[in-house]
Amino acid sequence: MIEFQNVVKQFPDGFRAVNGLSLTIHDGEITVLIGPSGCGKTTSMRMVNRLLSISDGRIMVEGRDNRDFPAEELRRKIGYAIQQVGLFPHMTVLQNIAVVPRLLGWEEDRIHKRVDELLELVGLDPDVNRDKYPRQLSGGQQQRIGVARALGADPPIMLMDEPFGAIDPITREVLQDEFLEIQKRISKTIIFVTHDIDEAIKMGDRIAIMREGSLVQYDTPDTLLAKPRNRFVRDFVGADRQLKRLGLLRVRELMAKETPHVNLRDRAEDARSAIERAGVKSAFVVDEDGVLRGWVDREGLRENPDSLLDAMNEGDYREIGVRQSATAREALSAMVARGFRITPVVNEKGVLVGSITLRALQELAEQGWAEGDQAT
Amino acid sequence: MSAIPNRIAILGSAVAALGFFFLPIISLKPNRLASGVSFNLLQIQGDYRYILLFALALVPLMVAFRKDVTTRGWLLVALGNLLLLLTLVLPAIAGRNLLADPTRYLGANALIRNPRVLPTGGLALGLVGGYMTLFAGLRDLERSGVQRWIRGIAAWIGVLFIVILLLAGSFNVYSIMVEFHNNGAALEQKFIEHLMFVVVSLVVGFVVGVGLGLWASRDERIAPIILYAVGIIQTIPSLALFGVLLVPLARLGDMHFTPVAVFFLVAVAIAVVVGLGYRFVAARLPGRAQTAALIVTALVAGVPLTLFTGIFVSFVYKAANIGFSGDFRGLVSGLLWLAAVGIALWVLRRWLVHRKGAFRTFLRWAYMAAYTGALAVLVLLLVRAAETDQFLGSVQSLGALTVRNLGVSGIGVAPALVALTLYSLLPLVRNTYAGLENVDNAIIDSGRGMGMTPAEIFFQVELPLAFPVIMAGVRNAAVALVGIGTVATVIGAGGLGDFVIQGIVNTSIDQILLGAIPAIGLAMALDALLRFVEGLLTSPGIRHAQNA
Repeated sequence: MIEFQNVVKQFPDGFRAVNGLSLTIHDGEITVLIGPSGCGKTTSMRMVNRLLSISDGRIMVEGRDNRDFPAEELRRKIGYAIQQVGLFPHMTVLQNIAVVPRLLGWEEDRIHKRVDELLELVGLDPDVNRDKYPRQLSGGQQQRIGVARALGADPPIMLMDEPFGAIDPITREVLQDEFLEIQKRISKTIIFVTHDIDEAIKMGDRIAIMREGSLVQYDTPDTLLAKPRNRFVRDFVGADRQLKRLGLLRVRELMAKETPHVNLRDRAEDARSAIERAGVKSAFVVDEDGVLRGWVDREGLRENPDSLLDAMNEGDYREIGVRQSATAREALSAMVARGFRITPVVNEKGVLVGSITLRALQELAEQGWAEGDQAT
Repeated sequence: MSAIPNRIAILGSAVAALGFFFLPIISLKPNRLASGVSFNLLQIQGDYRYILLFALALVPLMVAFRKDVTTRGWLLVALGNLLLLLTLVLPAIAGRNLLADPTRYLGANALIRNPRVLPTGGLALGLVGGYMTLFAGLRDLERSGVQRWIRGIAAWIGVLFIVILLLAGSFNVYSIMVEFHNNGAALEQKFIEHLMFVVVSLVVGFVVGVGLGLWASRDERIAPIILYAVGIIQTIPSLALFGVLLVPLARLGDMHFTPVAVFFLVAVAIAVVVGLGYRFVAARLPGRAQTAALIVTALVAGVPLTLFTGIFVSFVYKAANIGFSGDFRGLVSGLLWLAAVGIALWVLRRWLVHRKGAFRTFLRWAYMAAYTGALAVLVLLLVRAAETDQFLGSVQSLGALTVRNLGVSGIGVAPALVALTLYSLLPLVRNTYAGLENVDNAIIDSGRGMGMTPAEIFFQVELPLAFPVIMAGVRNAAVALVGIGTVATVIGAGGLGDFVIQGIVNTSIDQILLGAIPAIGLAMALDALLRFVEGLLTSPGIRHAQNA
């Protein structure tokens, strides 16, 4: 756990970059510091490993004032990755990743094992890349090595200063996804500085919005989007915050698990009674394995009262359904595109597992609007 | 692959051919001083085979228009090497024939003593043209992707033959070789003198210059002052600097050693006090006062430190000179041996850097052995020197010991060492400063962020990255010092300048060349050696970026 307690940073020229910041960073989470430039987010981060001195207040790292440790010892326990990567160009990939383990005096065997392990973790083949020099790598590869280097001695805490900031948008997405996967496995306590709200929402377990050296709001992305504390936060997260919020929610969590459906082999009458019983306009049709094959509505049954197969609309599950791992935003997009008010939810094999309605998503958004406006 | 004509080859061919046609190629001289009779390539009596050389010079002109770059490259390389070789060999043969009966060409009245053949303009242009042709060919080969080492062989094969012929005595008719054979022992001594004061002042300059450059890069207030100061030194004409040093060094030499040492200790003590005071006090002063305090500290500590460095270096030089007297070959071969061992160990270390345990231990011991050996040589030297009477003169007690006894005097090597050291500072300081300043801040920041100490950042990150730039400064300084070193003869420091000055006094071009050519060779050899070391010690990760 990292705890900022009334931390102040005043530079020699009198500028107060951080002004009484109090913030608790939870173990195993990615905490994003975000705000407009000059808000003190990088300054705050750099005080954690004492690259900048603290003018007043204190920062507790794992229960101890971070000034109790010698600065170098403290920094070796805290991973550090920056936007410019800062790989040592005269060292090979191996030597770069081995910097902190060597400073800590690890055995060479252990270092080698660790380096290979990290290269695999960040998705680079150790045998191909171990002895390359940074200039032989692409920007994305360099940043992967930067992350691997920060993880070198398996520090419990990592500081990341816009680590994906200087990379093209497509590679950035890939690296973000990869890093989230890695974080799932390693569960580090991470302070992540960015100025990109989309990145913050995507990466952060919690987001701390800063302005002029002070904390404005500190919440989970969902709460932040649903209940921005004031106009500054609302403007900062953007006019499409409801959409962004839907982007955070997984269909799995929102869907109705009970959804009216009939089997291909059922008779038309069974389908009619199922629809009427549920009080809906249509039902989904699945085969004997439970795989979504299409849907049938009252109108279709009226025109073909004898055969379910004739009455139903066939459709591939990839076309008409959404995956349960998709975001609510994707489900909304699918419904808008197909003109549905309800969309079936399937698992990876196409088995129908539930459904989600346009109405449910709307209610979610309305709730957010109401709460956000009340808070103003 | 089609290509435009090779213009360098055309030019080279023209230079050589015009030189052969219009300028005399050799001049027959009766002795060192008298002027001789010049011969054109086409005029050497009774021998028309030299026309072949003229014809050869014209061949590259035709080859240059070939379209096939690879074939053209090989042909030009062959022609260039041949032209270089024959431009030296054929006139030497002609010269030997002329020397067989010098009176026939010089007349019976000529004072014939050590008659010789002076290479003249035609021969020089022939060499230039040959080199241009060779260079043009190498460029073609590079374009067509011939491997680097093959091109290396192609570039040096002609020179290799020339060196073999030189050692075999084929060029002994040339005046420079006649001078060489008449002055062989003296040349060797002067050459080593020259090498010694260049290397000693380069080493001292390296320590001081890199130190100053480091200081400049660490303190932005002092940086302009240091850079300005070393820049100013460079503008003082070397002759004037030697002259200016004459009086103070003579005075210093007269002083007794004891008071000088006391002065040194007191000054260093004051500097330490002022320096510590600066750390605690000056940081709270306004900007201008800080700079002033910094300069005062620098002067208080710097002047005696400079003084003592000068005395120490002169002393070591003197001791080494006495210790090695008559044993220069031993010194050189010993140093070469140590260098070879060092380089071998270093290569081995790079190779084994990822290997484990036993090898590392072995290497650590090997290093220790090598450096103990080097230290032992140094101690042996001092002991040998101390056994001779010249070591401290006839001094019996410490009270009677003057600074002159330690090797410092107004004329001789001491002012040369001081002046050359000062001249070496500009490239060393400037390149060290530039090299360190150019290290990307993000790299240093990430080093700090990973928990490297300032010393670790300096030695593991900044220094390796700045190294090629610093080495470029060292090469610059080395080449410049070899040149400026020839002027040191005027204050009695010896070296190759002795021949040059004598040559000027006697208007004997042969003698001037006897000093100049070894100096050029020395400069080129030092440059090549330093380049080699630079290449070995520079990480492949930054090597190409720096050379580009």
